[in-house]
Amino acid sequence: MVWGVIVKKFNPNKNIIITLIVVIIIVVVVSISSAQRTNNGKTDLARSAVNDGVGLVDRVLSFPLLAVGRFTTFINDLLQAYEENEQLKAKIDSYGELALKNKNYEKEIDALKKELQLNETLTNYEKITANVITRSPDTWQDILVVDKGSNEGIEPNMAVLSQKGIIGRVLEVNANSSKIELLTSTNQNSNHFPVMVSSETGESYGLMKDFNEKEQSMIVSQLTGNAAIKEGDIVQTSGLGGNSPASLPIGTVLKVEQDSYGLTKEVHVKPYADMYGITVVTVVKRLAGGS
Amino acid sequence: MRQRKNIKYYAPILFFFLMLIDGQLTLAIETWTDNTYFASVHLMLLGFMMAVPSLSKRQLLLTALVLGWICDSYYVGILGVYTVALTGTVLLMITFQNVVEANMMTAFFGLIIFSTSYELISVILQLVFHLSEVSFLLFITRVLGPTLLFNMLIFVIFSYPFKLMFTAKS
Repeated sequence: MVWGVIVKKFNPNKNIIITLIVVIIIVVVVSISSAQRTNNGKTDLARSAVNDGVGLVDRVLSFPLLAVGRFTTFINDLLQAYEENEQLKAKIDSYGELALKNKNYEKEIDALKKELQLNETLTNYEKITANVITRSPDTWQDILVVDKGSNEGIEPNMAVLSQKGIIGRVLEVNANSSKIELLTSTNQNSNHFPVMVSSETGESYGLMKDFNEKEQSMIVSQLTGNAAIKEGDIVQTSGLGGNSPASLPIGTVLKVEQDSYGLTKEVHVKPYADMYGITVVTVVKRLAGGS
Repeated sequence: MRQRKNIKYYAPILFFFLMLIDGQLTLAIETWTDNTYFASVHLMLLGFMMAVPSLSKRQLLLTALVLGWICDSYYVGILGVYTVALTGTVLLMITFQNVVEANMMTAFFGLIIFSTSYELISVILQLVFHLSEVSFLLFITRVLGPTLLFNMLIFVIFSYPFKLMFTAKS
């Protein structure tokens, strides 16, 4: 009788307990899956099967919309064809000379590689082309889902290009599909790109890690070297760090300014690639071993 | 009686297809507005709202849990965000059904409330777990506003067909 009274007095509200348990489960699940996605981009068999199955159905559903999109692009291209033709005619005169120079450089590099017995350099890579099935409907995640996965040789953290330049990295890999995180993602756990800025007075090496939403530009910081960087200088990957190959195009310098502490320089880079309307991507597999 | 049983089986499959169609239409709108406005399409939420009177609470919550998990796994890779947002919103729908008289007018305002709660829950979870940085001004002007406007239009076009599809006839 006394024991029953004591238990009744100390019996807490059932709903509060249920709510607390649910909150704990949510925190644990989100933390574990977030850590798994950041540290190891490969999914387990069950999730891979679910993602691939859903991807297959989504590909079928996306077909009519893609067809309409491609038709619209075709009409736009047709309307812009005359203007582009005039621009290309102006560039074609110097094309022959450039092609010849490029061929000679390739011969020189092959000869030097043979001499040094080098099989791969930082610029060697394989390309895997993939179609974009869909994009994360969440505006804040900036993730593309593509139709190639580990069966085609894709691995987490590989660099990804669109037609014009780098757009991001492979975030997660399933057997037949993958997720790509764009450079514009505000995910604070995203992997960064080591870059090289080529200016008239020399090269500077730095790390690209932030995105300025207002300017739509990437921010490069932790720059080394004393070369004078100015607007219009070309920015590309440096190949350092062991992840992405060198010489992948990123963009051009928009402006140079001091960071908030006034200690180091920050370079704002306008990317070549458009981060929206992407239908086809190229995943880059670096061949040279990482450090 | 037969039709009620059928709804129990085909409703989850329809919700799954609506989830994928939502993703594709959201992408199409982004391209159409030249990446200025990011309206999220919520056909799946409209479907759930119309199906609440016909399906049991357990089935609705279980379906929302599973679909939310699939959505998390397929679109984001982090489990928990859409799972909580969708399950929470469906729970809200069930609660509303018990206290509010169901007609087209209340359903219209209900969709506005549920779309807002869905978007807010997913944004708040991402902020709490540092999964992204969210500018609230951007969220209100370029995401939530267009989302609500577009979903009002969705309601006008699809509410009656969805009502026919998801209401069980006794």
